[in-house]
Amino acid sequence: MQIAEDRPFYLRKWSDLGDLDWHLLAPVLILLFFGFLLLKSAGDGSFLSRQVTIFIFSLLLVTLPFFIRINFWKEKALFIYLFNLLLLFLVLIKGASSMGAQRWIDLGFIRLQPSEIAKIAIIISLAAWFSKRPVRNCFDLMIAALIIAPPFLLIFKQPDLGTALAYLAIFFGMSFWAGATTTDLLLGISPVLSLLFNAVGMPLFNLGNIHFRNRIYELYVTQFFFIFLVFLLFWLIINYKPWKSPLLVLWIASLVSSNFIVGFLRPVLWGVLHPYQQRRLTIFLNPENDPQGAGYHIIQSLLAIGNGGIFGYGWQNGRLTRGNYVPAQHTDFVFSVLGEEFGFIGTVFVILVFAYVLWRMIYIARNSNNDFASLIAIGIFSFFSFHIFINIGMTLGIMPITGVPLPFLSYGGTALIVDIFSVFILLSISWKTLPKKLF
Amino acid sequence: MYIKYHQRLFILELLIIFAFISILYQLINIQIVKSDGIVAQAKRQFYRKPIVLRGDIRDRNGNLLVLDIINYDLYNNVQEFKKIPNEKIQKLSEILKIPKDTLLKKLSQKRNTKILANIKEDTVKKIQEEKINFIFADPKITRSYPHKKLASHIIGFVNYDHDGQHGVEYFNDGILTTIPEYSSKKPVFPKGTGIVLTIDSLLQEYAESELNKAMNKSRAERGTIIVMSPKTGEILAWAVSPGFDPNTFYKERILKNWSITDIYQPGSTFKILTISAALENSAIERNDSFYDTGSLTVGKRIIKNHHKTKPQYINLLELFKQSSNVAAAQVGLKMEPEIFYNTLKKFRIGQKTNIDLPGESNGLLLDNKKWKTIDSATTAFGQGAVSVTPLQLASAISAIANHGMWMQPYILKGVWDPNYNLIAKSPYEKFSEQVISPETADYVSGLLKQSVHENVKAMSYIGGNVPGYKVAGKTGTAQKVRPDGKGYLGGHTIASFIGYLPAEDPEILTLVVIDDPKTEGGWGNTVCGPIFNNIAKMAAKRFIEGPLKTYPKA
Repeated sequence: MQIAEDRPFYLRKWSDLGDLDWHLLAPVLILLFFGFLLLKSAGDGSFLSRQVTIFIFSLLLVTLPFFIRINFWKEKALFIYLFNLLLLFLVLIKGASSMGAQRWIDLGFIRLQPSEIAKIAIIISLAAWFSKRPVRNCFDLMIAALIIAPPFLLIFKQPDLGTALAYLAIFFGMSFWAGATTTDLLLGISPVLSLLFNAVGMPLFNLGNIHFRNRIYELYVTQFFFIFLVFLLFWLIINYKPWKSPLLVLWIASLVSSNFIVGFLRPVLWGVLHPYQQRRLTIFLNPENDPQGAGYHIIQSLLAIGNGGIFGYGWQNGRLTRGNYVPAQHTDFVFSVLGEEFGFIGTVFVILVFAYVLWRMIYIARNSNNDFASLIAIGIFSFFSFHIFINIGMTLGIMPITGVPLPFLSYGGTALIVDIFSVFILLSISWKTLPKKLF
Repeated sequence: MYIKYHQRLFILELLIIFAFISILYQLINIQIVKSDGIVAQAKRQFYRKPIVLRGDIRDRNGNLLVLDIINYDLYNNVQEFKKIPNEKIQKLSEILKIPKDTLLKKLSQKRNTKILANIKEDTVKKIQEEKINFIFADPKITRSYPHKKLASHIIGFVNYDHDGQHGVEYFNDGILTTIPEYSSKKPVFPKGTGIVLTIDSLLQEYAESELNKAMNKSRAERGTIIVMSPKTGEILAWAVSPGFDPNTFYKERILKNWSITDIYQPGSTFKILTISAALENSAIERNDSFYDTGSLTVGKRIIKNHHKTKPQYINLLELFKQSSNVAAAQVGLKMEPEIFYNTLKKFRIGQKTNIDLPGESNGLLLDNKKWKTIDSATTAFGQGAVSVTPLQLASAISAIANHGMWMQPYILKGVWDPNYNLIAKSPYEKFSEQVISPETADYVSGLLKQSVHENVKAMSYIGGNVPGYKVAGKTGTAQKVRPDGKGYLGGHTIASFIGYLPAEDPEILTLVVIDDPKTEGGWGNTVCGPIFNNIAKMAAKRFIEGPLKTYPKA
């Protein structure tokens, strides 16, 4: 691989700007521009001016990673991790509340959202950990899971289910890159999946029109999934090469039993979620059940996007957008504004731009000569892809509503700063590791 | 690092491609394939019904009871704002009586903002005269009930969607929203057909105030007064308590008209029907007499009179005068249950009267095959196998008043023609039937007249004392059925008085029912008698002496 040496950042003449990774920066700028357009039509202008102010402010702040060695973050990872935990504690104790959740720290000029900052902090700490201790077996995976457990629980307590799930996505993405096998991850994820399948009430296994309310039958049907897993495990036991350790038997046995336990404890575990969270997680399967309540967001968002048709109504002319039909259309549901005003052409264009950004992130991760930098790139990639797919899927009614913003497009100060910051970290990685002169 | 890049990259890319394809699939599905349906569904959300006024509701004298009024909401006009001359804003602030700076602040919003709500039409006209075009007025209909609680149970109300709910508003929703073909020029807002009710609002108001007075005095649960014309079946006044204000229906707790939906056991007033049925079917003769010891044992149960009397022979007149339960029970026992049942059925007991109001109850009349001996005896004085709505009882007794002819009660007198000067007939067909022979009916009326007359003379009756008129009537003091339906509540009664006048050729029938009065022993005579007298006096003044009989012509 043709990889340059680590080199400091300096701009001596304007043509040096060409050394920046424009394959990443240009699509991001396009997305930001689109975001400003959408904010203009989603609100009465105050959202836009605030977002632009934060953008300019963040540009000053985030050029920082350019002047810092990438290994600086690795050395300070422990401090960053602890500072992040402190912030999350602070927000629980002294945070400002909005819409029933305690997520912000009021600094006067800006309301800081530590759960957003925590994303980048977690990426840095996990990258530092994995670069020292790659995942060689499933026990390494379990130990690494202990790192994200405290912030995960703190966020879950706020409550902010969407962000908590984003941490899981980051964890899975990075541990995969650090050596965890697909089977390890599938097995680790299986109790969560079992819980979700069980809670949703197994519509997948509904036989015709007969609706079985029998509890025993319900459990039995749910176990189909587990039986499948057991077969998978048998296959593994035969084919798994380092199959020597008795501890592995323990690991597999504990996973199988945890699946079953989760199935039986479902009412208890599901009860940990707030009732509105439960409703949001399941309503997307059938929004017409509660069109004025939990299903309202999805129905209005689908109507707005479908209303746009192929060409859309044009900028600032969306009928449902103008009428404020879609709740939170400047934050979580900004994609519905895009769908209505720019139509199929606009949505496909934006999705392709997102796809290019994601592809470029993988490219940077692959071509980095530094494990730590590579892991950070993959962490940022998982965080962005989770946000993009969950958010767009949510507005399209194929993903549960979890309150995840769309990167670069949604209104939100801290989220924007974190998004741009992570992009600049990637730029600094690519500056130092990619071959020069891309154009 | 020992990362196997290629395999991992492949899996990551596969995941991303899968996610993109599913999003793309859904986008194509929504924005292209299903687009037409979704566009139509979205349009339905911001589509607004065109403004159509509902027809007016008037009483029989042409007084307006209910009407639709148009109010306006003022909004700023975003396009026009930039070029507003200062003096026009000054003028607008004078017309609207709000300070100039607040007005300016609202006008300069970049989105459509409501400036003021519920502006009257003349204010809007003033604004238009000043040629102020930087605001626009959005018309909004309100159903107005200027008399508030008056006749609210009959009229009903409209819900937030301007659809009729309860009462006449619900029952005649179709008529009220049908726009007639105008012969002259079309108005700005089309208006539905107006209707006229049979009630006389003055009598109605009087009845409601009397009822409320009585309710407060006796601390009763609920009560009703029905005044109707036995000859035609018209409801002349119908007061119901507890009442509600249809203008603010959303604040009210009780909206139902209990006197049409709920049933009660009528008690002694029902004896009129028992005696009529027995005479009509020749189960007894006119001059039969009955031995009344004060109590009568039927099977295991003992029937007692309300007032203790010496053992004596009493005739039919004394039966009504003393309101003897024992004698009435003997009459009931003389009839075959089937014959008794069939005659009551003719009087529409246990059936809807089919009045043109919604929510009517069937009442209750147990099938004669299920009657035990005790039921024949107790039903005879209105406590056994029978429960009625007040309306059912009033219309059944009015058949006796009307010489044996049962007339279907009704509330809709007619429909205005488009030019608002004539009344067409009520569009509903009315039913009438000769249920007993005129001779029997008149004989029972005579007995009632005689008993009231003698009782009033002997000062033992308060009810029925209407100067200048001979009244036929009967008191009723029924025991209250327990809420669970098993037996009766001790010490709780339903007091009633029913009567009609003039007794020879009745024009007006009045029923007063007070549920669970806490004063004056709860007797029908003492609680309801005075109310009956006042109402009957007033009704006679309006309908027999006054000019109301002739207006408006049908």
